Amino acid sequence: MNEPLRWQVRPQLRDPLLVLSFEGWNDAGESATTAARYLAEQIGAAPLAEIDPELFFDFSVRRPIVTVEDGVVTDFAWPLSRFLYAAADEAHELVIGIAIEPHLRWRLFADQVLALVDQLQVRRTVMLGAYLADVLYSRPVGITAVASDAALLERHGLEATRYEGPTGVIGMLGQLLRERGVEVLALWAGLPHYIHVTPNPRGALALLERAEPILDVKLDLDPLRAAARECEQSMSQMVSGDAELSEYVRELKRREFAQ
Amino acid sequence: MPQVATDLVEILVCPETKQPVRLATAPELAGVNEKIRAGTMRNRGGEAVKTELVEALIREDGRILYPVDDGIPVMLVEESIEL
Repeated sequence: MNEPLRWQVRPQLRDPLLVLSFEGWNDAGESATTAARYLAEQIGAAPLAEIDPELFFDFSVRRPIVTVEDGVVTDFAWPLSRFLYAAADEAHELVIGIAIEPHLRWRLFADQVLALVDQLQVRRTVMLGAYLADVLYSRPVGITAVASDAALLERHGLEATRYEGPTGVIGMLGQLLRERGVEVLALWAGLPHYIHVTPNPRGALALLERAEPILDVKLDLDPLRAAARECEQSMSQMVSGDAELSEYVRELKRREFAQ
Repeated sequence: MPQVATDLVEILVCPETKQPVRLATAPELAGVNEKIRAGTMRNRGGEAVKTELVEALIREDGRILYPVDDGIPVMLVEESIEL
């Protein structure tokens, strides 16, 4: 059996910063992976490595994707976790992980990510995530952060948060990276649980607006802003056309006012 | 034998100068492999290159070669070869 981590190129990197996103539980409205894909496209990221899914997925739950055109199979895609890279500026590179939360063998999966971190001598990681919450859909998407140390939150003007409960692969990797001495900052977008929009460009935009200065990269976010505005309009229409939803939103507003 | 993907080659650049790279031609590889067999080829890190190359990438200006190891381009300055 080959190693699950397959390199596509051995690059020369000066000071790589790893940006990680995972499809699944950590990716409400696909905001995190949408943000990571947008970032990769903006900086012209090239393939670097991928993790073979064989040991980590139940393919009857997360099925491979086949494309058939004119009766002929033109593509067959396994659920790969991919890593891409590009220079952010003269001094540092971004390595962007667009991954999938595995079903099985999380620790072995983590070993693959840690092997990549070790090989590239990554010292800083930014993780992107999104969760569903009882937040007002009409407010700007709030970002909460979890860091490997409090000074990191302070440096980036991020509010400290409290949480105790289940975690995803981001939580596990954050802990393992921290133990390895790698700086970890996880940014989480809070999306309304009562409106399902996937992909949700509002969440992706909020993550990238917050991440841009942290990653020290210049991005053109205008196309994402336009998509976010469109999404907001369609959410407004959904709420105004549904009496039960409208009442729930009014209740959230009352609660917010009371606070 | 794994081969480097051509779409990957199209987006790779020299880590030093950012110039594009292209696949080495058979005569170019033969020339380099002859020197490797003769034991006279060293990489830019100063190490003797002992394994003949099946594939390689050459920088746009034709001065530097990056080995391809088992289908994986090695874009490291120390492991590159001056032509």
